[in-house]
Amino acid sequence: MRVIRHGSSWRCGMVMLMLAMIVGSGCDKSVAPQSSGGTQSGTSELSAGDQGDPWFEPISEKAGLSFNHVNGNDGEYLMPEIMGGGAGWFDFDNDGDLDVYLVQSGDLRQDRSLNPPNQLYRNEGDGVFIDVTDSSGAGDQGYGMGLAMGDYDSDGDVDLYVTNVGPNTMLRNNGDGTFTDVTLTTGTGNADWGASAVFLDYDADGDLDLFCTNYIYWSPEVERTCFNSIDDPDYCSPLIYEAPTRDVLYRNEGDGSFAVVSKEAGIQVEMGTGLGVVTLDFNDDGLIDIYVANDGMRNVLWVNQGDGTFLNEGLLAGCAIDQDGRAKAGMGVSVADVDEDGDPDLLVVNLDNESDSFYRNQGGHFIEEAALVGLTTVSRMFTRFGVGFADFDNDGSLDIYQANGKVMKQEGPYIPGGNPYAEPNVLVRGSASGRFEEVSPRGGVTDELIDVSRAAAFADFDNDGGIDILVANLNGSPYLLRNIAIDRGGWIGFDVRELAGGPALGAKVICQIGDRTIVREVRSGSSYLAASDPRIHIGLGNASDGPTSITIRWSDGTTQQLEGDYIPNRYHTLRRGVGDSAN
Amino acid sequence: MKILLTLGVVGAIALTVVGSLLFANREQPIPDPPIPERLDSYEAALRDLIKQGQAGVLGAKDDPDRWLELGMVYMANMNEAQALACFEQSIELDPLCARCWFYAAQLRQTASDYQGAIDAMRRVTELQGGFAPASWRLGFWMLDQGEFDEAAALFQTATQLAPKDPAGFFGMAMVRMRQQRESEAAVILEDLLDWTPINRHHANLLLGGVYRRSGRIEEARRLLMGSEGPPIQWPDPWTSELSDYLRHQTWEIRFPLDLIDRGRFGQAIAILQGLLHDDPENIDLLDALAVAYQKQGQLDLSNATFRKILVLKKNQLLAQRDQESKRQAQSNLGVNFLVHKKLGMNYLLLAQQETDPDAMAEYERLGFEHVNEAIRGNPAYADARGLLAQFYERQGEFDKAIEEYQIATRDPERGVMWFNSLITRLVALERWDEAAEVLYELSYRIVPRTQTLYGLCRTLCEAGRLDEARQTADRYARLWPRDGGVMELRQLIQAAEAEPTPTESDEQ
Repeated sequence: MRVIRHGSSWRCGMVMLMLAMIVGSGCDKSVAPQSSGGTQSGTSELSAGDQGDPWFEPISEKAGLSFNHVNGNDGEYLMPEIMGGGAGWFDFDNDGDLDVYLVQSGDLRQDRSLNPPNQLYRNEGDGVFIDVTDSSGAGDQGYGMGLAMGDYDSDGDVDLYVTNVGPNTMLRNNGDGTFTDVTLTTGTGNADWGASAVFLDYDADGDLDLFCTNYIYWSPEVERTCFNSIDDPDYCSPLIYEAPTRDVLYRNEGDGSFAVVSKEAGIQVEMGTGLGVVTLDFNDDGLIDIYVANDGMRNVLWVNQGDGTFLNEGLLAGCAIDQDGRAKAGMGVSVADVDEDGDPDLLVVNLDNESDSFYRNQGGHFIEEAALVGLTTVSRMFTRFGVGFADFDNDGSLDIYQANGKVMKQEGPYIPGGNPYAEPNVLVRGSASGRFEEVSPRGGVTDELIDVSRAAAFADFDNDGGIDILVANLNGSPYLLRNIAIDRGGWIGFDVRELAGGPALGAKVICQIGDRTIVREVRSGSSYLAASDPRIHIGLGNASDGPTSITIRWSDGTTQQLEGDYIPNRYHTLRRGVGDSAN
Repeated sequence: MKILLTLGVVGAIALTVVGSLLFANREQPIPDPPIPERLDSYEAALRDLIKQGQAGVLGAKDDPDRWLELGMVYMANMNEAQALACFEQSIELDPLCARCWFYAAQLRQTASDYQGAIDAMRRVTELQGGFAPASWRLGFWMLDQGEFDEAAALFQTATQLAPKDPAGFFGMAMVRMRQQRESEAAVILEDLLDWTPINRHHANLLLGGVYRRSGRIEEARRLLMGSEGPPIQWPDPWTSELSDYLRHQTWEIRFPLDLIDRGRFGQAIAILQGLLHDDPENIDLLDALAVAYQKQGQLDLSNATFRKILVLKKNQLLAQRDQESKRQAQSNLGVNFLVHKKLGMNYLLLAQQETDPDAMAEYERLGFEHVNEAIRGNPAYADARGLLAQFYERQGEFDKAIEEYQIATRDPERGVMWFNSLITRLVALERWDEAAEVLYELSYRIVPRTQTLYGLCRTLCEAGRLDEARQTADRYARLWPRDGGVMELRQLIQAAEAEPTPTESDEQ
């Protein structure tokens, strides 16, 4: 039976429907699907209203991203099936533009060798991507979840770590367009259910270590039969398995191998249901900390003690639970200095009917201020996974994109007769006042895209200064959303590199532009099951000048001061120990 | 010009359609009551209750009370869409029905219709100004909207209307926190902790946050330590009345059990507490409540509830006068092994969370006691055996742990769950031969999986049993010829073959 929310809106909906049938627009939920990359699209009554200009154009099909995610569901409802869909950006061939990696799942009942592989698409630089999975050897066939990127062997090219339900996979970039599976030799094949992962130099020894979240202990043998609120068989809540697990920390030994140091580092003391992870220097002590979003449990802030160990200070620092004292179902997480006060703020997105958690950093501890900044109700009706702060319109204020999709069937699917898990994604505009408001048209696209979205990865793939978005859709094709926001402001970008040439993950860049003091960390891992463009992108609004001085604090604690005339509207490469060069 | 003409025609048609729709709506007959799609599959008691409610509505479709009652039946039984439709209809018939608006507001909120929920609850405050829960519920929603001043006023009203209801005070503290008025929030919370019977853990968390923000770090640390607390509850008399519509015993239990399965522990606990109010010694309800507490992480409450069950069962036994009844009660008491196992699990969890060595040792002692009790009741109970093994693991008594795991793995149904623990322990102790045997058993006991044979092959390599490792790799390749693991295993075997064989002098 259809949900009738209340009389007046229902009648209004009918009137709008009739009008739409006559004039061919409005809020008809039965508008034919568009072919814009996702499995479904349409317009809903929720998006009706004043429609602004679109910010993004879906181009995945045009761009050649033929990938189609499959989760293997055959009616049994195995828990991992509803969680997958990873995606990422990284410049695997070092040609200056970002390539796409899409993580495939497959079928949990069959051997992994029968799974379709993950796919690598090379950016040709002309808006087209070419599938180079076979020639590159990057097509891992585990039941895939997410990925992390980083130059772990300091050879100048970016390597890839893929998380799976079952052993994870480390793919070393050979520098010639191919990859070698080095899981065994690196010792990084954690066999749990891996979710988001990040490379980081936690011990400040100059090479990248690895942190991987694990979700729950799961195997088909422990699967349960669950029913949703409409008495249909469905996926279970993770809590019913009573099987939270531990995340894993690998220390790079500098010889091509990693050691599991979870126990020594103190990580092993916490059980959780990790889904999202970011690195940040939350207390500005020069050491990289780790924040993990747990599903249905308290989030964890691993504070780096500087001696190879971590302490979970999440509760004390005020970012484990929300302002009202509740632990929420944390999925994706993003971090940025939203208020430009010099320290990183956190955003965790949660399950439907739970508001976002916006933790504002107050110089070493957080205050949850989702209500204050207008983030409690914008997307609360959706289950949000992928998330990211980025200045999409380059106006100088960070915006937010959220990729959504239910984990249990909804009573009336968003599109009648459509996928009962599908939901629209949401774009939220930031403003100088510090408040956020939803962008119309919903999701920033002319024809609302409705699918079961998971990872959202952010990158300026065409190097035009506008941040584009790659969204992985469960059991569907990805969205590639090219930024076409009109009246975009000026911008400046910094490609911060280690001596060997790899992205300087964890480096902190501080610069003054006009009266703004901007602090950004070089980061790839955030969101959910995603890897994003590690370059620093700053929207300048109407400012006509870039900074004249830049301070970089590298992940090993050393600092470097760079002076120069950093011209806006281009990327500048900042290399450790070397002056800058403009791209 | 052509465009203007077209627009004019379209506009005229649109206006006609709007007008006729509005007119038609005014004359629209009252619809039939909503029926759940799967009503026939519902338990008889609930089905009858719904049918009775529907008959009531059909007998007097213009009676708002009939719609209200049917809505309450639906709402109590999680048929939220049907419930909302009923309340909306009762509002159509009687716009002054405060209770109808109150329930509709809550259901709109659940359905993510936040503005609709606020509008409805605001209507309740207008219609029934003396009903404090409407004020504080609306206050919480306004707080979510960032409307702090309005929220503060609503909480203030609620505290004046019902000075013994803590909800309004919590709300006032939360407003102060959002307004960064920490010292005021601290005063409210400190006062609240002196008297509130509910949500004390919640108050501690809030106060801890306030202290932290005020720089009172050590006080904050003390309040913020410890495990997850009980779920937050905001009871009110009108919502509590919904439990009156859960009359049938088996349905009453199944419903909260379903909620527990869905991870909605707080809701399950609230319902179970309501049911136990009328039937405080119902062991099935108590057991469900204890399980819900356990899953929620409220181990102390869970323990207390399980202990209550044990006492009740013992009392039942003592109360029997004839031998037959005694035998039945004794048999019932035998089922206690399940309760003891659950208690044992609780103590294991408590021990895992505890940092104080003395308290940890006490939890372990109690855990051992209950698990052993469970095993005495049912020596073949795999989960109890596995649990006992976990206690031995904690004490470093790995041989005993292995022994218990081995017993647990023998259970035909539950045993498979304990293989991983057993293998993990054997591998950690580098007892490769035994690990290989267990992996062999597992690989035959259930349909072989890649990870099982992969692990077996690696273990055989470690044990130096290379012939068997080769056979296992061959088996792997036969089963999954295209799997990347085939190559990996062959490389592994090659590497093991290349290693120098230990000589006597090496061993010396």
